[in-house]
Amino acid sequence: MTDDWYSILKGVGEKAETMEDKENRGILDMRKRWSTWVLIFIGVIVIFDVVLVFMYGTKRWDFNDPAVVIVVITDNFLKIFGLGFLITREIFKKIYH
Amino acid sequence: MLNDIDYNHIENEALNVLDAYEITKPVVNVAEIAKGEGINIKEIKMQDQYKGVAGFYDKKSNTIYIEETDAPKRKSFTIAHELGHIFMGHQNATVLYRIPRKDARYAKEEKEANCFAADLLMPDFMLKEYMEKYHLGKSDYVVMSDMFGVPIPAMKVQLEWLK
Repeated sequence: MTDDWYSILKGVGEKAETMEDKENRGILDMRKRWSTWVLIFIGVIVIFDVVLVFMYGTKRWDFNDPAVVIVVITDNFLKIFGLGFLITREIFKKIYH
Repeated sequence: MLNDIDYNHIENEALNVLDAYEITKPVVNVAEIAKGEGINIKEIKMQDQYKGVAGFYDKKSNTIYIEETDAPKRKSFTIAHELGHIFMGHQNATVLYRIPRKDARYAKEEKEANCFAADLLMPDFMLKEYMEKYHLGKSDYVVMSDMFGVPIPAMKVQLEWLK
């Protein structure tokens, strides 16, 4: 009789371990897959900023209000920061906590 | 008094038992430990007058009796609790009952036995190892309770106390 309940506990324990293992592998796979795309996205934002400053600086683009450039660059900086924060703190929370 | 309890001593006693039985992974087989100590385990249906009693140890027959209708996790904790009385050398009663917390004025010996049971089933080193291995935190007490084969509230408390 004692063996019965211990077998149940052992079975439940092993199942929980397998599930956790699977979940962790899933998260790691997701991290690999998404990290490339996130890097590309951040790269695009940075390149956009560089091009914007260059075009504005060389007066090829002319904005009536110079504050627009500052706003756009600040917006992009916040996007990069927010993206990094979201990814590390929320999407991959389990791995990084 | 809570302060009278020597938690370090209890933890060391539990660790010595795990060491003696070379147990390094959950689920800790408390039935094997009892068997190794020559203690019998019997599952019985508690009489109505003992309703709420999860188990007891009868020194005379050297037997731990547990409620047969209890869930496996509770049975395991009950045996660990009774082993706590035995390993801690509690002598105050020939029959030591394990009564659920809400129904009992927890005496010092009961607290010690509970503490021993928790340290035996969920020692710090094992908890830390599994939290690291599976990237789990203190909020993951439900899945940890399955991994360790212990009741959820017991795991929750043990994780709160984890150093």
